[in-house]
Amino acid sequence: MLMTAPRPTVARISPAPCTDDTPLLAVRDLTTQFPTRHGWLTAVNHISYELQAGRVLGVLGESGSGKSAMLRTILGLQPKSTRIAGEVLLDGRDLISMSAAEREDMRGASVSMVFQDPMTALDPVFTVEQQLVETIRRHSTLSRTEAAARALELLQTVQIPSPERRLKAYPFELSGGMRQRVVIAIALVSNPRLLLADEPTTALDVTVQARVLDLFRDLKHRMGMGIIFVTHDLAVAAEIADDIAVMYAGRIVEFGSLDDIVRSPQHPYTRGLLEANIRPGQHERPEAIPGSPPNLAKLPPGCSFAPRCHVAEAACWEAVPAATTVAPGHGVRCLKAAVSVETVVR
Amino acid sequence: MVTLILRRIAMAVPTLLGVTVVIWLLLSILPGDPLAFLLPQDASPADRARLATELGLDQPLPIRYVDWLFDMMRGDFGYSPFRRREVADLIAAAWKNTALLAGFSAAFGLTIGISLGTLAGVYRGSAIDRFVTGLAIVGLSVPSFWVAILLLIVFSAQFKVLPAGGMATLDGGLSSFLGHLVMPVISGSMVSIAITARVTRASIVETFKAEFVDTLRAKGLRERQVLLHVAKNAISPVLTTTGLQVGFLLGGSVLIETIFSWPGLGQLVFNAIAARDLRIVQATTVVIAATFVILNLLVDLLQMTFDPRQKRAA
Repeated sequence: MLMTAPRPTVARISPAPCTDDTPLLAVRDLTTQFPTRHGWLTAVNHISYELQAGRVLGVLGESGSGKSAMLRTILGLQPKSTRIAGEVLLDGRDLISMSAAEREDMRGASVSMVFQDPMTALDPVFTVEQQLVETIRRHSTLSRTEAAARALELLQTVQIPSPERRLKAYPFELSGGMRQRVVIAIALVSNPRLLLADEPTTALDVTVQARVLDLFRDLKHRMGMGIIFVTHDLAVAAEIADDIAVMYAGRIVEFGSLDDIVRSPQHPYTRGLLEANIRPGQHERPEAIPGSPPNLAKLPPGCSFAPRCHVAEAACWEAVPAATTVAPGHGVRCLKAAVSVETVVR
Repeated sequence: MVTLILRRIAMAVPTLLGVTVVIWLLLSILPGDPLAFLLPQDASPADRARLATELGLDQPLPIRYVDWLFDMMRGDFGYSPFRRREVADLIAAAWKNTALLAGFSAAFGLTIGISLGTLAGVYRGSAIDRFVTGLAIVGLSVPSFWVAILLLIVFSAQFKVLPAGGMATLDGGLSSFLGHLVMPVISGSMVSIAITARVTRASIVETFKAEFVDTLRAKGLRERQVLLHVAKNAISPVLTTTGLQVGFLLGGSVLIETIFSWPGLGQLVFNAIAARDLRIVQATTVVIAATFVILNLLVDLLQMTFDPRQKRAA
């Protein structure tokens, strides 16, 4: 679902037809702002979407587009000075207005997170087993031995070879891919309803990347959890996502099924991202998007992509474009896109 | 693990040997004639030569060094002609007294320093943090002898609640024993408190920035559990400075022991320097250096138990 500031033109976009009425996760008008010397920096800017259980939402965008800030806000990991508005409803319960104690209980239980860099995500002076067991015992009443057995089981779930030996290992004794599997195992401790993955394959070698992606796909099918998979790499998103949200300067500028986004991208930014990728059989150099993202503390009044856009016109600089539905489940925030689609329809 | 410890100990031996060479050379090339202090002004050259032979001062430098080293290894630190006692006995007695003071000072200083530093690190930016940081700067910049004198003026001269100096044994009762310790411990551990608090605070703040802290929170650990993880990660620099602090305390503070007439190493070495009693100065310096080397060894071994990565690095 995509929402905008001017309410009347709000377009409701649900990701593909679904069986259940209440979504697993409903983010409504979420805004996250950090204080800086130059005023409030809007990292997440009025974002709304829904996620059904068993589906993967790929969040695509450059660094600094607010992807990680959005995940952290969902889990409540942002610094204390942060200003947050909006709702994050997990099975109808608002995670934003929760008390600190409720949030502690929610983390790692119904919502888990996998971080980008497995080299730094694990505590270096505790063994894999200690880090798994403390998480298991935090969310259950298992005894130490029962928890250790469950830890072993989890390492098997994430397909770590010779798991008995790895349990006793310290993170520095494991490879990057293996560490990321441990991080994922920790996230799976209590079969969360929602898994947040913050560029979980970016820091890995390409071959390891492919295997970790396989693992995510496997988890989605077997455990039926909803996954938000943040990445800057369209190829990675295409491997795993059912739906794609393209983020730019803290806003979702385009939302649709993977097919919609790849086959008929509407936003010039999405098209730019697609063109920046190399396709099989391509001979010419990939086209980079000129310029760099705007300063989030001083956003322009109009479309934040306008300064870099080659089709921008005067109207684009005046107001933030409203979200428009171009096809069922496919929305975009671009004046030009809407026009072009209408032309196509006509 | 045992071979590792043995290897570390073996590595400490050349360090200690180097230290003895430097100490011995420095004190041997110092101007001033120890014989002049021992002999009457009208002593004849024959008397001088006889005393020099008796003390071994007529031998060439390297021979005298090796003799001294082997004597020391046998526990023979020589005879102090000024104090008319075996140097080893003098040092043993003084070391016991200094160790008592150092033990109390270290326990007091490290407990307060680590607690204050942890508080400041956990509540960084708060009023507690500013208070601790300010206190640490005061502790580092105010000379310990000045604090000692101030304490003396207030608690001994003015209110007459604490003894002005000296040491008491437990035989004289617990309150007298502790009473004699209070002021030397407070003035002597001020610097330790300041340094330990600062290092602890910095290490805790730095560790809280690490990404694994996000993972700990993301998996739902309570803030108290997160702090335990952070503490274990932050302990390494604290241990390193702790080793140095305890080393300084065990070396005996010349100023504090002199002010409070505490019969420890500091006072022993102070009097020995004044009397140009080289044997005591040499021996005390070696003992202090050995204390440092051993403490650093202990710190290294302790760090290995806290950080598994260092085991592999070693």
